[in-house]
Amino acid sequence: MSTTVVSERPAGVFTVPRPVDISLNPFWDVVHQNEHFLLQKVKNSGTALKSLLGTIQNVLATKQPTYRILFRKEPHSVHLQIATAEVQSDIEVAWMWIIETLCEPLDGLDDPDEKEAFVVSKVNAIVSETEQEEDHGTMDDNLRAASRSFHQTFEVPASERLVNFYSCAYHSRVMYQGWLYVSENYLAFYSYILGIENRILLELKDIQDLQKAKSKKGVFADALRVITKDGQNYFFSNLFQRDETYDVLVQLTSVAMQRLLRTTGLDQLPGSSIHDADMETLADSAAMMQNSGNSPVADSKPQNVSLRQGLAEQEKDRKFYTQYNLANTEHVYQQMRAALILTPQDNEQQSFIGSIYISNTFLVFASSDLKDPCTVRLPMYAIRRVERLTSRSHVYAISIVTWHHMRLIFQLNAPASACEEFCSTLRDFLRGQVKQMKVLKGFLSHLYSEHFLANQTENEPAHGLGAQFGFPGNPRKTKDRSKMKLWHKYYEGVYSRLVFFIESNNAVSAEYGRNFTMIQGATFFKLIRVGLPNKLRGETWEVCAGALFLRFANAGVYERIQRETAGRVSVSTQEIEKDLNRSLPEYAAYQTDEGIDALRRVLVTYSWKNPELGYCQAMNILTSALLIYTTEEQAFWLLNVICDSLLPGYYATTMYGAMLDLAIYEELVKKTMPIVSKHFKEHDLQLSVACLPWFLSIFINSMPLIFAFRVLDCFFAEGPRILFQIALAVLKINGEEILAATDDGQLIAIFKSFFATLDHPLYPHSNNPKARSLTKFNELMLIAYREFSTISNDMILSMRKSHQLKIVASIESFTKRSAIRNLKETGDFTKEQLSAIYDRYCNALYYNRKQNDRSDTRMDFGVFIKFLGSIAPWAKLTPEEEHQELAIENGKSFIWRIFEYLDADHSEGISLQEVVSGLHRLLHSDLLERIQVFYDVFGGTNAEALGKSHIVELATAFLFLFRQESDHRKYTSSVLEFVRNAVEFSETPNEHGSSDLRDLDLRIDMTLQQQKEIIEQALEDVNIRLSLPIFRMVIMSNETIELYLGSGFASTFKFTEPIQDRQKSLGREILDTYYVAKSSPSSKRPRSVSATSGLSLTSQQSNSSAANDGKPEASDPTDAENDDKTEEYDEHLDISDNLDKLLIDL
Amino acid sequence: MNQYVNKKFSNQYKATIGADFLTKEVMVDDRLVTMQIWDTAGQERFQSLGVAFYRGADCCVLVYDVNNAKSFETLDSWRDEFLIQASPRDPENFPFVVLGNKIDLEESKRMVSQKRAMTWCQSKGNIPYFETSAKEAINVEQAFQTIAKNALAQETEMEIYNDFPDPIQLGSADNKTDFGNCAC
Repeated sequence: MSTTVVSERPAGVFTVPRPVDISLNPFWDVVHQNEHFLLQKVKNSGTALKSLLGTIQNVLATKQPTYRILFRKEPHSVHLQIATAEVQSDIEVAWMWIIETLCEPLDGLDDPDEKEAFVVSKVNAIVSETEQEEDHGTMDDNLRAASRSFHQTFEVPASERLVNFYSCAYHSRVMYQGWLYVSENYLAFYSYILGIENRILLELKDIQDLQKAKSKKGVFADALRVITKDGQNYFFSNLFQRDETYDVLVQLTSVAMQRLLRTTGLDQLPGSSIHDADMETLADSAAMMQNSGNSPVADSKPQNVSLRQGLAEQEKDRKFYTQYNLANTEHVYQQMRAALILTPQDNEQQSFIGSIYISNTFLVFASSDLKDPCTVRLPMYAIRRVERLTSRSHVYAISIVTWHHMRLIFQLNAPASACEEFCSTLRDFLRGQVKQMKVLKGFLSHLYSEHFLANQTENEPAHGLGAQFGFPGNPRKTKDRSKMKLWHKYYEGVYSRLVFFIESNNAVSAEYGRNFTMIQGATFFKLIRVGLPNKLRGETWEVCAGALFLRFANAGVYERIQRETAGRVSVSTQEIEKDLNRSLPEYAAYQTDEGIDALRRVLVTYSWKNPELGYCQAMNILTSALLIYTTEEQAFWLLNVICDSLLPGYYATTMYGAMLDLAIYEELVKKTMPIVSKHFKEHDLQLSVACLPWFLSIFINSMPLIFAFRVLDCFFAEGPRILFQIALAVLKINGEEILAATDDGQLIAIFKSFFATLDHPLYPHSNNPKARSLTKFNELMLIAYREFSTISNDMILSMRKSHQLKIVASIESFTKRSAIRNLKETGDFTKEQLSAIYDRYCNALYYNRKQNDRSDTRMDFGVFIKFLGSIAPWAKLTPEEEHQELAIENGKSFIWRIFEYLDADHSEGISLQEVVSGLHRLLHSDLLERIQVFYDVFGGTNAEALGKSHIVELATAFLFLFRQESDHRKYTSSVLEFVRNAVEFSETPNEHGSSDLRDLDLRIDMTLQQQKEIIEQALEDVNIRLSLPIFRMVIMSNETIELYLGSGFASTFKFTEPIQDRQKSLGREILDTYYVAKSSPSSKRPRSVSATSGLSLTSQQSNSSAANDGKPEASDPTDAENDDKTEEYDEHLDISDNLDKLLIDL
Repeated sequence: MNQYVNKKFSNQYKATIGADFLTKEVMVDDRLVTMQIWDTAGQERFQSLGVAFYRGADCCVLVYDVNNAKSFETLDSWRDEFLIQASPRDPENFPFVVLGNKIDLEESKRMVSQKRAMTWCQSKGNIPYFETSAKEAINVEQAFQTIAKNALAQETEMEIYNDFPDPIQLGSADNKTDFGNCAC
């Protein structure tokens, strides 16, 4: 231990222990060895076997490192690989370390199993320790190594990126210590211990629930339970970074769920034009809109960060813009602790401790004290001046003067260098916003608050239909005037300055600011809770929701969309038209064209902006309510914020957001009012039936308008949590009646009558006049705020994340059901087959779509190849084939033909219906029909005849189809026969006849391209013309091809196997098992989950159906053992056959 | 629904978000029963909510607009979804009633012929079909009589099947009828 270099454990060399077989000695030279360990170097000599190994490595896209260290596991021939390296010096260091630290303890152990356990735990500890070291260099190395073993162990696309890996234990009957891998699309586990191998690969999109748990004895909070959609339950413990693992998984699964929601809805976008061509311009304008929202510096986002860091950044940004209601293009560049100091005119100096952020366009400060809230969201373009304050007390303080001449003092709580950096970032971003600043003045003149403070009476800015048609409620009763005064005071009545610098600070116009520069402090929330005054209501909503910033950044967009979409019709616009008169008919404006037209314009424009969502009932009610207090453009941007971020998914085609929040609500009821919840359960009452409209219409549809607007005030200021708080308070207040209700109808009736009496006095007989003035609505809000104050927006957001997996699962099953039901033609497929086609269809779309793609539910050619590969093995291209571009072009051109054949409407995209109808024609036909199908596929429908190029293509296609058949010679000769017959039967006479074709030979080692060229060459001087009847003759005179078209072809399509193929093993493991099987068939050996598919080049076709049942058996390693053994053995025989062939050819 | 229960027709009513219901007492075969008529949201995306609006229903009324072909074409999907979500014991014989509404509009606007609707109803196991106008109160009373009758028959049948003590009340004065799809 005391020696120099050696005792430093060489990082990055040790790997997760995995089994290898040393009977592969031919490939390896032993460099060092002792009783316990072997150090080997790969052989250089180019033997046949070497190239065989090379082939297999190539097929599997794995590269064996040059050096490796093995732990000898006597008496087995299977050893454990514990370290690998490319350079000898690296491996030697590891070897020395092993000799020094591991050998002596090993000598002391007798039981071989104990020895193994010792080594495995030691090596695992090293790998995991180095992973935890903060040094980025080694971490990346480790991650790279882990990524390599992840790709080697599991069959995942080469492009799949590993996010992180964690040491953990998997519980089935026994506990298996191993590694948990988290990648973009998968969760995987691998362990190899005491001769038992466990391999689990789960698709993130198949996860239905993720739960934090305590490990089995209930002591350590270090476990995670994963439940998949097929009901499997996986339990992992000993996760030292459990919370991190959980967070990463939650983040990744929610990305997966969002994608899933996009891919499962198979209908056309409801908001997209009925005439498809119209859409392109709109997509352009949508893209432009995105850009205009971006700041010019957005491109300077840090590049080249690791996936894990990237995800963490993404999550940080998401939290940031969700919390402060900013556009989702905002990225946090600077963040630090800071204090904000304000000195209001008539009050004590106020100071707030919290965090300050700089994002693309905003300077944000938020107090971290929940009891004393203070939030500042200053757009850069509303900042007039920034100064560094010189101070004797070594405090780094900056003074910011806003557009409205309000001075804010921030004391930055960080080392001076960080503060400097902070300021320089701020300076850069301020410069970028100079342009916007110029626009601001004109924009502000249309805001009511500016007009109000200027004490003007003329040219009142527009503030909604209410100005003309009257605002709901009696303004005297709601004390509108005194509220206006309070807001006036809030806007202007106070000023701020740093207390230490009073002398140098000539009073700047003082206030809490307004519109763009308003500080949201405790007083602000109080003012909101008493209800906003009519004329300031719309603007304050906008400010709270951040819609004001959006409207400013996207000036003119509302009109532009209207101009560009004028006169177009979509499903959504039709639906909107039907609902216009059913929105808020009791309000006077909506009995006139003026009101209805405004409502139509806002809804229709939104449906064009977001065609994926289009229009959902309840949006009409919401919008009609907004329009009483806002202009059309204001309502439009408010609607954007509501649909995109405040109530995400509420109005989507699947309405997943509404389902999600209802589920969360029910859970909260269960937690806070267990008796009521139990009553619902006992009497089978559906709370969601009654509550859906509360959430969907933000209570507008349920409460009298004056109260609904009070709720809306709070909703915009406090966020979605308020909906839950109020909904819970409704139950609380009506608890007794609810406990007497026994059916859904009664429940609804209770709520209806409660809402109808919200204006009734709470204490009608009280002597105290103040108490008498309290209404039931006051009680409701009091209870909502007091008793359910623990419900925070963060809590709702995290519950949305944890519940969404279940919701998405149920939506998936619904959309699947309706997609299949909506098929106009289902061919002769059984329900199971249709369901399998649907699954594969969605799966192919899911994995081949970029994250932010608009939801086009048709497959393009790239997706189609993947889809076809998942149902027909011959269409699945092995990694090796993918690399041989030329060869595979020929296969692809055949698949392209099929693609064109299925694409009935020539839209270069295939819908589910086209797949089903097309596959039906392809598969459910007799020989004669299928010959015609092939004729049509190659010649096009109604072709007069097939020519030479068609025949070459057909022959190549047959060779492509047959490339995996085991009896290669038979099939190639049948293809040659086909070519000869085509020449012979050709309707155009040939001088030479087909004699030249007799000696043609196609060898197995030729690529498809070479084979094609041979055929092409042979046919150089001949003409071919085959009409359909003659083509039939050509086929029917060819026994092999006739049989293949008659039945073989259709039977290559498999609908019953699971989508996820069993995972590939490593090349060396195939050989391991092969040798083990040969030398001692009965000896206990590591269970290689899928020994066969690794050799897919030659053997996949012959035994794929037998081997590909079910998931990896890792979940019950012992039960299936006996059943499987014989089957496994058979597979090995197959392999040996194929290997022999391979060897001969070599 | 409003026409039937309150004898009123109004252009001024709100779109149904989720579900709403009215009750009415009716005499069916000398029995006084209370009928709960539920109106569920008409937009297709509300189907996916999976909220069990339909649970425990005794009869399902599908309403379409005779002047709107699409509203007729989606009847199939509404019917299927109803059967899946309500999962009645005997889906084959569950009572449906189809109403073709808005026949008060001029004939030239009509998109779905009576014959086409009748054929569809016949193919689904002879569903009773009525052409109605909620506005002019044409056929509304007759349609609901049939609905009530069929619902009651369904319920009696349920009681026969119900040979184990069931905590869910199936009281005779409490029929639940679903009323879907269209303005009425």
